[in-house]
Amino acid sequence: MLTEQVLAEIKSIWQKSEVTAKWYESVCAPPVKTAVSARLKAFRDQARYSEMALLARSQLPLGKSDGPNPPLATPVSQTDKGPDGPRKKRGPKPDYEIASRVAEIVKGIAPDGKWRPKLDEICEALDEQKLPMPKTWKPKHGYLSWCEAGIDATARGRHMALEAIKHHLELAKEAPTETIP
Amino acid sequence: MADLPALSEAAERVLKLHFEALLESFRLTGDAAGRYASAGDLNRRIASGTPPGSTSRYLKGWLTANQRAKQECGITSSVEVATRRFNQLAAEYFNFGLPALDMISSPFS
Repeated sequence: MLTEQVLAEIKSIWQKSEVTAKWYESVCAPPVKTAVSARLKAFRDQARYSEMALLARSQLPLGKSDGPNPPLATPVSQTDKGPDGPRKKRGPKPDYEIASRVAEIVKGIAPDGKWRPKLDEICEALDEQKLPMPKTWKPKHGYLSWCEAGIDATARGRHMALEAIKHHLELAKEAPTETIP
Repeated sequence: MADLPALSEAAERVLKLHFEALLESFRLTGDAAGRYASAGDLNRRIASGTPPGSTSRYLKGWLTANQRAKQECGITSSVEVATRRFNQLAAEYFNFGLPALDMISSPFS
C-alpha cells in the first residue's frame, strides 16, 4: 500500500503530457520500482527487528519492563555490593590455610621475627612442606620452586619470594579466628 | 492487507509540504519532466544499458557515462525522490502506532 502510494505520487509528476508519461513508463519506472522495493525490504526488516525488540522487552520479569532501558554495563560499585549491603572483595579468595602454614614455618625458623636474612632456609622449608608457590611464577618467570626463586641471581626471584612470604604473613594475621560453638 | 489509515489534516499537510520540498530540491517541478523526456536516444540507451564485465577495461568509463545519462534522463532524481518519499510516509505511518508489517505490502513481490 505504501509503495503503491509512493509510486503513484512519482508517476503523477510525469503525467503532464503523453510524451512525459510514456517516457516515465519506459525509462524511469523500472529503476524507481526497484529502488522503492529495496527500501521497502529495508523498512520491513527494521520494523521486524523493532517488533522483536519490543516483544523481548515485554517478556522481561516484572519491574524490569518499566522505565528506561537497562544500562548495558553495571557500574563496578553496584556489582561489588552483596545482597545485604557490604562490598565483596574482588579477585581470588584468600587461602588462609596456606598462609597460616607459611607463618608457622617462618616462625619456626625465625622466632624473633627477623626472617628476611633467612630466606634461603625458609624457601627450602616451604619446598619440603610442598607448599604451593604463586601460580604466576611458573608460566611468567619459569620458577619451578620456592628455592629456584630464592636463589635467582638476578635478585628478581629473591624479591618475589620475599614479597610472597610477606603477603602470606599478612594474610595469616587477617585470618578469621575459629569460634567454638 | 488493510488500507492505509487516514492521517490527520495536519499530518497530511506536513507530508504534502515535505513532498513539495523534495520535488524542488531534486528539480522535478514545472517543466522538468518535459526537459528530461527530451533527452537524446543515446542517453536513454546508455542509461538503461547493462554494464560490461567487471574485468573490462571499459567499465569505469561506462559507469561514468551511465551516471551522467541517468541524470539527464531524470532517473536519478526520480529514484531519489521516490526513496525519500517512501521514508517520509513510512515514518509518518510508523509513528501513527500501527503494526508496520501489516500496513505495508509490496506490489512487486
